Amino acid sequence: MGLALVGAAIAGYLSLYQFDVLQTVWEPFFGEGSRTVLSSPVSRLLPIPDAALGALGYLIDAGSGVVGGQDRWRRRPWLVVVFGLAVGPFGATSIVLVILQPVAFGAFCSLCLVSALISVLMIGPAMDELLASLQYLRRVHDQGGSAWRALWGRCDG
Amino acid sequence: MAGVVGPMRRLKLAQAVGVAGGVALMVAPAILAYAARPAGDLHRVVGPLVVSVALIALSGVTVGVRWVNLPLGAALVVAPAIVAHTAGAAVTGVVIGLALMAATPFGGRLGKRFDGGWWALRGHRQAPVGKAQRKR
Repeated sequence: MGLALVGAAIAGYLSLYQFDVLQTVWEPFFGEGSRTVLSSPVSRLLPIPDAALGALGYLIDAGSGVVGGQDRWRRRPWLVVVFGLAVGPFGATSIVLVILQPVAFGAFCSLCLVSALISVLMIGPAMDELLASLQYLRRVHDQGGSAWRALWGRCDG
Repeated sequence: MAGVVGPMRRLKLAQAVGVAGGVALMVAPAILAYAARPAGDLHRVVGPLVVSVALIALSGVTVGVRWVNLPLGAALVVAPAIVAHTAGAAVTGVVIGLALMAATPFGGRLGKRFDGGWWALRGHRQAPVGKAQRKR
């Protein structure tokens, strides 16, 4: 959840620039790179700037961590499955955006790279938790219980 | 000493080479001045992929993902024969590609705490039920 909050803070800051709330954006290494990347056509493909979408995704992740608690893999497997299925495309999108920075725009954006790094680092732990939930559902099924009910947290296993 | 030995034991060669090699691929086109060539685009596409695969494979349950870097390394090695490369680009790609291929097998394995991992979902093994058994 800590990683998600850091990611949300970074993406939120970048989205403030994209929404023209901030006139400049912090870029320690690549000169005008961040401005170029954040103002690119790709960043505006959707009605909402990509950084804002990223911030939203991070906040949902952080929120699901709070809602589910430490043992959500067993108490709320549906939440873990949904998050596990969401984090993959989220990370994949970040990787594509990192590839596009130098190839399509000839520039790098430091904070965008950090944000992408965070989203990729979140994949491993998410898969760890997803496996725990799926193994739990499998066990419930093998013991003759309803995996469907267990998915929604309606049995203790 | 124990504080050093612990992290050293956890160091996974495939993942370390993947992160270092991938970052090198991302910056080499600018440093060696082949960014405008096809080889530059190739390295700047493969680089982030290699880093991402290595980072995902850091987690115990996704450690097998590191094998994706094997074909990526092979692609870097054979690319100079297919796509025009400068000398610097060719050396960079081949050296990093060979390093990725050589390091891939040494990335750790699925630990016992995962109780069969993804294969256990097929039902041939008993899957765990209690969190206490999993030391998360």
